[in-house]
Amino acid sequence: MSRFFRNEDDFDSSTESESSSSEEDTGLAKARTTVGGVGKSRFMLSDSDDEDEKRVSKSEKDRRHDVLVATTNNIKSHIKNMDVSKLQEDFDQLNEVLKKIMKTDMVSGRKPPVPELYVRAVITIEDFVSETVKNKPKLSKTNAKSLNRMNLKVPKNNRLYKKEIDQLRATGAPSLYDMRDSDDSDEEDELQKEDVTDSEYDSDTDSTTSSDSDAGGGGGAFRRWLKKDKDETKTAASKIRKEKKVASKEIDAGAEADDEDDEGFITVSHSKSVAGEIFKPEEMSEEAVDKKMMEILQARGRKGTNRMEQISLIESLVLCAKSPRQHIELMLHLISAKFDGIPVAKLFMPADLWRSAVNDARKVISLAREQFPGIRFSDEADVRGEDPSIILKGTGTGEIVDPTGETLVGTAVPAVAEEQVKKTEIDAEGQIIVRGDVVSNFERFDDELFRAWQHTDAYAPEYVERLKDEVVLLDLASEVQSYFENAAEREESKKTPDDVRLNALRSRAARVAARRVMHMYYKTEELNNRVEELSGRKNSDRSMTELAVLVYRYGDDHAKSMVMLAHIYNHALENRFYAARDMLLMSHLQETIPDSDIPLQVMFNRAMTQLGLCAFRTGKPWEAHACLQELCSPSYGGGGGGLSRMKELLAQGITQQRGYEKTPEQEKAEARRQIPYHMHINLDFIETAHLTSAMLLEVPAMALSKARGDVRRWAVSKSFQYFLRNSMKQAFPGPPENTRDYVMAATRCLMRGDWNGAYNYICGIRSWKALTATTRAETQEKLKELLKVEALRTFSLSYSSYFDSMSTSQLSELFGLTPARVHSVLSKMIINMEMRASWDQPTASIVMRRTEPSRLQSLALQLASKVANMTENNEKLMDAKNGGIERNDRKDDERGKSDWKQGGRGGKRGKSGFNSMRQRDGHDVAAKARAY
Amino acid sequence: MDFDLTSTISEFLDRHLVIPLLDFISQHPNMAGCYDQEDVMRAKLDLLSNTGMVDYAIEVHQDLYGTDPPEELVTRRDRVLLALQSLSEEAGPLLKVISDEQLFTQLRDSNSFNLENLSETHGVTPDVIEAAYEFGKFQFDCGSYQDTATLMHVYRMLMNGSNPEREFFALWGKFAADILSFNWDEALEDMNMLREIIDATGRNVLLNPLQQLQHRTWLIHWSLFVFFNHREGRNGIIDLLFSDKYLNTIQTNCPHVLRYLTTAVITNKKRRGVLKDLVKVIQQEAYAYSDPITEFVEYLYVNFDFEGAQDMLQNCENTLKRDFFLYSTLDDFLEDARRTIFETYCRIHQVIDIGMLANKLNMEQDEAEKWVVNLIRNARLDAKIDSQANQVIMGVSVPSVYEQVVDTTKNLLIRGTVLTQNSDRPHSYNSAGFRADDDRRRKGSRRDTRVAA
Repeated sequence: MSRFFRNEDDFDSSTESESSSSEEDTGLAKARTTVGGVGKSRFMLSDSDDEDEKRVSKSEKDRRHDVLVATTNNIKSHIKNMDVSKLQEDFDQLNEVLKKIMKTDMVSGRKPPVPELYVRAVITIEDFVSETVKNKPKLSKTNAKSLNRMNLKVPKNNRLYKKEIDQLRATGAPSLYDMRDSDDSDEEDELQKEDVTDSEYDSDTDSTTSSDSDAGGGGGAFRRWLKKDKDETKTAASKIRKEKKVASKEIDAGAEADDEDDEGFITVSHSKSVAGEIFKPEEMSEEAVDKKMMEILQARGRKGTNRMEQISLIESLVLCAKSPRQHIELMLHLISAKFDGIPVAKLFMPADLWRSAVNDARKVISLAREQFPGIRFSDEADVRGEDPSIILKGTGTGEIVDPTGETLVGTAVPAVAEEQVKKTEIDAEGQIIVRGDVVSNFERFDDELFRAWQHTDAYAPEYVERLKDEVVLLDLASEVQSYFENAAEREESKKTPDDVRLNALRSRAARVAARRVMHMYYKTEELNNRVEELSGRKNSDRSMTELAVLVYRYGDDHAKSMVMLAHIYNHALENRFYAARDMLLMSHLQETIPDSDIPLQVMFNRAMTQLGLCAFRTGKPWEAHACLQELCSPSYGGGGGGLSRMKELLAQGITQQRGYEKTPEQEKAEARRQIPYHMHINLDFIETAHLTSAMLLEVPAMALSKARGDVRRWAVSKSFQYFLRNSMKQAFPGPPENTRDYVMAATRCLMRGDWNGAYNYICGIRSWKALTATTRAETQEKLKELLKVEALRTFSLSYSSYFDSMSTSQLSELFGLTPARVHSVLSKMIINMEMRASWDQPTASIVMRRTEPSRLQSLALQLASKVANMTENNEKLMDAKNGGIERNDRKDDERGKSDWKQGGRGGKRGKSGFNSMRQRDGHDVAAKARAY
Repeated sequence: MDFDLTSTISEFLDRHLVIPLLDFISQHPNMAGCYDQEDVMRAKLDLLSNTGMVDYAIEVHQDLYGTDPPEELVTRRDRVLLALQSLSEEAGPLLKVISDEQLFTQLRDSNSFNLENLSETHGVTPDVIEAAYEFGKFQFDCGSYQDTATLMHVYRMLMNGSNPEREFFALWGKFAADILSFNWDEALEDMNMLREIIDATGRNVLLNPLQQLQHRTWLIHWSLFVFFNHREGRNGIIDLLFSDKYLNTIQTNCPHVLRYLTTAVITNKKRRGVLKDLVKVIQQEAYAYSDPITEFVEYLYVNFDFEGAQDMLQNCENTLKRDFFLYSTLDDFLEDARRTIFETYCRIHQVIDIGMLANKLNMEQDEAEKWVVNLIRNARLDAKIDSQANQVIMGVSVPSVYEQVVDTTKNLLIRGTVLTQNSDRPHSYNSAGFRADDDRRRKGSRRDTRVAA
């Protein structure tokens, strides 16, 4: 701890000596340090013991005064040498130091006294300047220039401190030289002088600061102490005396003016005291620790508070904790201090800080568990107006009973702290209430880790390191959750459970559960098992379903939707397509998703994508295409191919849109919602799945429309057709390079009915690597079957006009299908009237009945259909004119019938592809959730 | 025993409604060997010991263990009797009115059978009516279903909407009682009323969606009794279960009902139109539920695997004859299923070997030939028999281009005329609506003829 501290200080002083501001104390102590500083400066002037200087670590103020003193020294020597330009620099520096002194004091909101030394220095300079100007000595060019400037600047500056200057001048010995006289005097003298300055300062601060006068008791004690100190140590080395002063501050602050312990304090402060703050467990009463904590907390968030220092202060304070309640509270404060300690420049909490904070949180939870149910955390139930069940027991003024049974009288309690003294809250059942929310802390940890993932390079080893932290976080999560669940159970088992409290406890458990789900859903069971093996411990004590159900029951709406989507994602990941689909449909999320916030939309897109991939893996091209189509279609708002749109929709990378500049806020928001790398879905594989399933649907459909001679046909996938058209334009297609090329090459094969070629091309796509070997083999096997069937369909549709009959055995040989399968596929086509043919059962062959219409006939057919179209359009016009209700109804009817059909509804950006998949009864989700 | 739904269905039934199921299991010859007799009896005893039918329970107990009934049953019997008596006393005034048939009809005919009148003249206070409700409930518990039905009916008449919730439950009670007393017409009526109330929730009875779902599920299961016993039942079940809300309920809560729906569709010659929808539902739910009957449909209409369908038919027979609701429809089902196979088969073939056909239809060759001839004679099949080659040759109907052109243009003239008229008279949706409807109907009928062909 102390080393940390020292490093910080060293670092600071080496760069800019006064920049760090370790304001760790209230005004009272400050005044002391100022005093100490003055004393020391004198000591230094007379003794200039470097050794000593190094050994004694000084507080901020001490150092400032050192600088001040050094500057005044310089001033004196420069005046002596008539070095005006140097003097000017000194003057500037002097003012800078003053500014800093003033600034630090601004923190406490009081106007600080102007150091006497400074006033003296400026008087000296003013006198010197005015005299020099009057005498007009011969000066170098730079010096003359500086002199002129000084002549202007100094009086202007001094006007600000007119009062102080006048006061000092009134004493008759205003300049620095007058001071030097006293420096030269002997030690006795010095001590006397010091005492004078002390009292001077006391009076000074009394007039300017309010808190010091409030703390009169403490101040008195101090003065008493100082006197005693003087008496006792007149002959002792001044070094020791100084340290004692530091120690005296401790004791004073701790409201324990115990002279007997001087020696102990000296040694402690000698070895450890860096910021001048160290707490001895045996010295601090519970009360004192509380008060100290309050002091530290007051400094929190103020300008110039050193956060690192605060952390170590609280850390040392934690060791002094007297009761479990206090321990927990201090730990909670420590955690929040650590959150404060995130460097501003960093975008996330540094790993070591994070880890130590998480450890603290775990300690808190284990403490709370040990003390359960004696101590509980405050919750919503406590804030319900004036709850009579809570007795506030103020301990500020009365007698304090500390654990040892010793009674301390509150005389030493400074009045300031008294007001804000920690109050122990005890509820009706004698449970001690601790203010603080472990769950919020946990969520913060989670957020910080997430941010760390976002901002760490995914290929760097640090990323892996941070990934390992997830295990720790999940451990914490399960501890927190089970703590609150126990608490909830206890509450429930009471005779008269407090509903508000019960709900509060449950909702907290649910919040944690929701976070846990978010850490689990994207991992397959296999991966989970592997991680468990490697880390040697069980990753989670509960299945994701259990956690999800908890959230469905007690979580808030947003968490419910999020967890529901995560659940869907997980089902899809584990290839439970139907479970995932039913859940999605019953959640009815696709209806509300365009209106929800963006993270939820991203989650929805992820779930939808994974569902599509799941359909693809399980050999359902139709479903896969329905899920992926919208994601993969090129963006509307100009620019960016499918890939960049995918990136945007899945939050897997920031994309630049052509012709559209994002505002910085938008960019920031986008960066904030990025999904960490290890949760990414392989974009290339999405494209493979989409295009392959589009191919499987589109190729036979194309053949069919050709065979039927449709004038215009309905495209299954517009983007696929677009790619295909482009690819077909090439006279000599080269070997495929990217996913799209591969699929197009496969499409060419499939159009000829060459399933094997198509299969080989598809298998050549690189993104298959995204799947594990077994899944890949399974998927490809399924794909092969699908390709065979679709090839058979395409073949028989495209070439049926060239055949009079085809035998089953030949077809089955050609397409590697069993004769029964061929029969089934072709029968289906006949029934659906896709093909005019019939089976000749005895010979097991299919006989084509296709009659090619003559030119006249086909023209007549076209004419007929066109006229029919025209009439229909006229009717539509008519209806539109008349209000057009009925016709719309009819259209809706038809659409309703075609299940799964993608009507042109998905106009909005939020995905609505599944809208028409299948509608189920409104609130079945609840039904299912309850059924679990 | 695979595919036995007794336990699944029992979850959704009233205790009393399960008794017929258990009786079927234990007594029907079809079920011989499926369940251990003693287990069934024990289940029945469990079931009965929680009802008011203590005498029956004692009987079963004696059958099962051959010992005297346990003490608790005996004391229970006394308690039941006592309760029955006290309740009947409380509801006395009303019971008197009802039991006096002459008075009852007279009151009803004079339109004075209402609460006001009765409370004035016969001392039937609201308390009495409530007591009558309790009494009816107790009666049901004791197994006198007939009385329950009457009481519940009277209760509903008297309350007349002043306590919708109670009346709703009374209706459920009446429904159950009608079912158990085999009063199918009444039951059908009750069922329709219940359906209305459930669907129009919010008006009388407030049900949240979950309850609605639950009630629908119950209604579906209870109504199975009606559908497979009432003569109009097979139409009714199709009407009920193919309505959107009930189809949803089936898909969500009880996909096993698909078996009954499928059977009803297959055995109903007039309602072939819904077959397509059925196939779709079955396909969708295949992952959640499948049994030989649904698989049969899948084989036939999804995969066109006639051999498979044929094999499945054998399984269907085994399943159906052990199903409480369906065993009576077994023969119908087999016959219709066979014909369905044949029809589909014919649609995609032009030449079929009769021997093979006979094999597929599970018939002798001559019999099969006769069967085909009958079909041809009834103009259900456009085919001829080549008796030398022993083949059926299907008539080939190629829709000629002329026909197609005529088809598309046939109604254009009328549509054009309507348009002209409409453009003259701006406010005439009616004719347009009519036409649209007409158009659709025509299309539908065409499809039907094609199916028949």
